[in-house]
Amino acid sequence: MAKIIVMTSGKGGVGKTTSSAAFAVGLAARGHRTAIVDFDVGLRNLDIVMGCERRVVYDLVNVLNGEATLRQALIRDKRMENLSILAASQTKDKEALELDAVGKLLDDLRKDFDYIVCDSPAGIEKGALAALYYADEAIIVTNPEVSSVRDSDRILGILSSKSHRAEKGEDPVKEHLLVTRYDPARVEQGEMLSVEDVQDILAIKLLGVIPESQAVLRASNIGQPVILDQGTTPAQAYEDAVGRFLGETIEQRFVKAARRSFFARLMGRPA
Amino acid sequence: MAVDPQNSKDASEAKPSRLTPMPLRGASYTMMVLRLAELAQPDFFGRLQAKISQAPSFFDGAPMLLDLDGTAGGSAEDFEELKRRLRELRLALVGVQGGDERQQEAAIGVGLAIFPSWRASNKSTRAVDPASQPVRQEAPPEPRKPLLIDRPVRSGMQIYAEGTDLVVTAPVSAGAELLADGSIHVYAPLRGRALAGVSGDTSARIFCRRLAAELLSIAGHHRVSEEIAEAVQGRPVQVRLQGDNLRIETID
Repeated sequence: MAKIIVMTSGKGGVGKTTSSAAFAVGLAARGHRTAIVDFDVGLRNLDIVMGCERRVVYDLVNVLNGEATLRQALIRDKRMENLSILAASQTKDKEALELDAVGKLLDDLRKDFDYIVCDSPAGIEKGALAALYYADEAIIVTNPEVSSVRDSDRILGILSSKSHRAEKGEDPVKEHLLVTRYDPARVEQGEMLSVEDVQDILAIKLLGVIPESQAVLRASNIGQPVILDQGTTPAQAYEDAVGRFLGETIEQRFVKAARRSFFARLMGRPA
Repeated sequence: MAVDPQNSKDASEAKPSRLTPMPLRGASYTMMVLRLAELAQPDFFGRLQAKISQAPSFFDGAPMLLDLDGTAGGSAEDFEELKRRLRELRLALVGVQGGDERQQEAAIGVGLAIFPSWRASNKSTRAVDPASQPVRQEAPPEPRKPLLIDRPVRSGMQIYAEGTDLVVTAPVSAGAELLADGSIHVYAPLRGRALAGVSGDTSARIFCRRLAAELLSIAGHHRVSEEIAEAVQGRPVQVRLQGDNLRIETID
């Protein structure tokens, strides 16, 4: 049975699109047929991060309005054969996001894909609600910072009360915590919330910790999801997160500050 | 809910001002309402006496309000007579609501107050038909079971335990709001707002495993996080009302 995953946060700019792209690639790389849908109508950027912005003919709103079929709108990723992208509209309005039409679109996607990743916009209004409404599982992207944690808490409240599962009294949406832009050195200096602090407040299961890294900006500039930049810490962290999502037990690697070896310190080199 | 007309702070924490503070405070109470139209029913006082004898201490000295809606006429002497007869049953007629100008003038003439007409759906006061059960927090016919919440109360959520206590066994986030007519028990960190005794029960209390609340309130007397002493922050506490003051004590 296909699973609908929403990548949401409440707060803007915390790494939802980066994480959606990385996750979708990670799932596809493991052989799962994956579709990724951008729900940020009017402020789309999933297509940029995925590197397919020059191939968008039809978008989500075209399909919802019946102006194009799903087949016409879905863009095949050039790197991963199991991965397809449905871009958001840049010119249309969020008004097109009627829940019934969204439900029908997701049902259609379920026929051809194992996982459907819904990249949510920031906020708690129509776009965000449409993205989370039909979710089976939710990944709550949170920066280790008080505003982000507060907004994540709010979105958790909405998931438990305004999702389809909540309204129909079905099993609740499964919640996962993804902490992004983590800097263990700053945590140790007391400048940043620790993973434990975030977990204490949100009380949901930790899926992964993605360290702050310059690789993320590079990735979005060249339109290649950061998980494909092998060797970088966010790529490794996203790989681990995908593994844990699929049931593997993997230790958290990026929670402690890397200790510089004696020689490295002597030579002035990083660890 | 007690309301300080100056601002809703405890009197002990009011900032000193150059003007002498008024010796008056606003307050609201639950009260029984007697509909004047009911007096036309057979054996009214007999039935009222029977009701009183079911719970004598409850009714002893209780204030009563006379609802004049749907009636006309009534002189000062009539009101005085009604006052006297209710006094014989140890009930105190304190005022009237509704009615026309003539009736209200007559009421004032015998020292009765004029109350604004409350809708029957108002939670603080309800019109009571003497032939039915009285509605008052302290002596309900059957106690309602506490409202139990065992999932985290997230930011933006609001829980109201009407007519009973609220028990929460999961964390309460900042930005969440708990309300109860009775007491509030949080067997987990309390980071949001907790308002107990919202319908005026000054005996309501708040308990929590870890105090980090944004606001605490009992029967309208509130205190914000900034005004809560360092010594009790982060500790298991009990909050109760002593006079006009919120007392926060650790329970270890």
